[in-house]
Amino acid sequence: MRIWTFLTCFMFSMVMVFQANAKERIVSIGGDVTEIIYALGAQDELVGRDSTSTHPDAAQQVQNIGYMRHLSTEGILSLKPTLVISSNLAQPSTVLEQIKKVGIPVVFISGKHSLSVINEKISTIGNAVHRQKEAKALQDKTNQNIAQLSGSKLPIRVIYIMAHTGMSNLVAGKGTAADEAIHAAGLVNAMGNVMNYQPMSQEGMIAAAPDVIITDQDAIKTIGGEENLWKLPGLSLTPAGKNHQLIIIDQMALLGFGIHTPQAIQDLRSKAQNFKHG
Amino acid sequence: MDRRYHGYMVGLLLILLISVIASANIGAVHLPWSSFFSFDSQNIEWQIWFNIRLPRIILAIVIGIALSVSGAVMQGLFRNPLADPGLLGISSGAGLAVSVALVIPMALPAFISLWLPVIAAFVGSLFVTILIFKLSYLTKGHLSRLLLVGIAINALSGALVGILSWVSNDQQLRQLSLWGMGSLGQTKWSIVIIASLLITVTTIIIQCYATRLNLLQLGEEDAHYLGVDIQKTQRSLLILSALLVGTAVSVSGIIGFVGLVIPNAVRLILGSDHRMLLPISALSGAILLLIADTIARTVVQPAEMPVGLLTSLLGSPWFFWLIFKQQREE
Repeated sequence: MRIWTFLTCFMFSMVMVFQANAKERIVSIGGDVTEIIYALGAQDELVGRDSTSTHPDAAQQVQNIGYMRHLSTEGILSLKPTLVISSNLAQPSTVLEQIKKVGIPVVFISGKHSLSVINEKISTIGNAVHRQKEAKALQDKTNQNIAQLSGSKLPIRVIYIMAHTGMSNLVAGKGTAADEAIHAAGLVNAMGNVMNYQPMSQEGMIAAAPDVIITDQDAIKTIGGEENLWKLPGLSLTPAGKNHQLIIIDQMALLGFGIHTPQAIQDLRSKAQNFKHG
Repeated sequence: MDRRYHGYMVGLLLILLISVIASANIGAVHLPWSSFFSFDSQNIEWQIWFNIRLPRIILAIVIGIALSVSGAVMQGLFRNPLADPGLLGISSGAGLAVSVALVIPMALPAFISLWLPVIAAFVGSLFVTILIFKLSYLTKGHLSRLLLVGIAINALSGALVGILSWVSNDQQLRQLSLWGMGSLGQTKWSIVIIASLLITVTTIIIQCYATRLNLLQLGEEDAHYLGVDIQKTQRSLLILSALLVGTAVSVSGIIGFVGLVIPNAVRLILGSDHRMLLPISALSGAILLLIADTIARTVVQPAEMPVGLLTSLLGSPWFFWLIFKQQREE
């Protein structure tokens, strides 16, 4: 008899423990979102991520649900998620609407490019994954990093080049994440007079006269190495091309406006300062 | 109507039925048979089956019908095996409207902005159709001139889409390029029901024109002496097939290949009697798109492939084989 009482109590207490630690099954969409989930220590609850979520390296072991603008409703549901956290950049998406309709909560995270948005992202995700305390600590750390950024303007002209296979090389103008990051680092975007990403033109490049070229590892791979970069139209006739002044950045860290962005902006500034400029 | 035709009809209907059953059972989520009949809206498996998989199956069938029938009609009208809905500029007109909707910022309520590409594509294709209709009066029913008009519309839309993608930002550009690949993933019952009704009714009306389409193959003069009202027939068929294309493009983006190859393949096997060609093409198109979409949504799960890539991948080699086989027989 006593054994039954014990067993019942044991079972009951197990159920209570289970309920207290009811784990979410999270699908995360957006590289910045996934990074914050890891930083808050919620990665054990992560069952799926999109193809832009490649940081930290451990995230690459998580099921990939494909590109954020080409999602599959059934694919996401097959992971039996209890929560979907998605960057606003995946909007508008009928797929996410359908998932909501099935009764799975979908939390949207701002897709704006600005330092002030990082803390908002952290708190929204922190609330969604029930880790408000960790979110607070992470915000404090981010605030420190942002406070350390020197906002003073440097007279260094830079151009961000984006290159993907199958399209012409693009330079980042106003309204892009790269432009925002360049300004936050106190540098001058030499292409700040055009909107969005524009195809690179020879004369435009020469007229813009950048002191430094910024690009990422993928672009260097697409262009076919650093030597080929300096052979791009007009580049050899710019100050950057004459002195071979190039900064290769981590694209997700600098342009994702996530937790590593303040540090990436700091690095960009200190690297740019070491170069010759007009 | 010969015995062969009935044999093909029965055979294709069987294949379609098997494809539907298979497609209902295949997917990223494993659904037990019981979930198909649970009718319980609280049951998540029933929800997935009824709200996600079933509408998609129906949509694949009706879009497949729309693409292949409109292709068959265009080829019959222009007496040119290379004519297809893309040729008249209807698809590109729809594409242009979608580009405008995606790139030019508009303050709209959320539920409209979600369906904006669909609405825009339909308005765009309807606009081009009406334009073609008006111009067909001006060109006095010369279909060859109408083809030139189509080419001009294509060129103009292409240039305008180019300008729009040039001024668009990163996110808009990606949406545009994905829409161009075609997908049946953005389905809702409301859209599926509207599209199915439009496509079914239009296809039935087109079938009534089958005999007149056959007479048109003899040349306009002969058809006229045989009592066909040439202009009226051509115009009605143009509008009807444009309606099919407009509906298809607005719901699923641009899915190539089906409208061009299916009717041609059926013609190779059965000859060009439109009374047989139209229904057989409709069924074949439905089967091809259903199979392609089932593969598209399962092969890289939990992600998904654009179905337009698969229709070409599946269809091209088979079409090559068919052409060579015919060559050898001749």
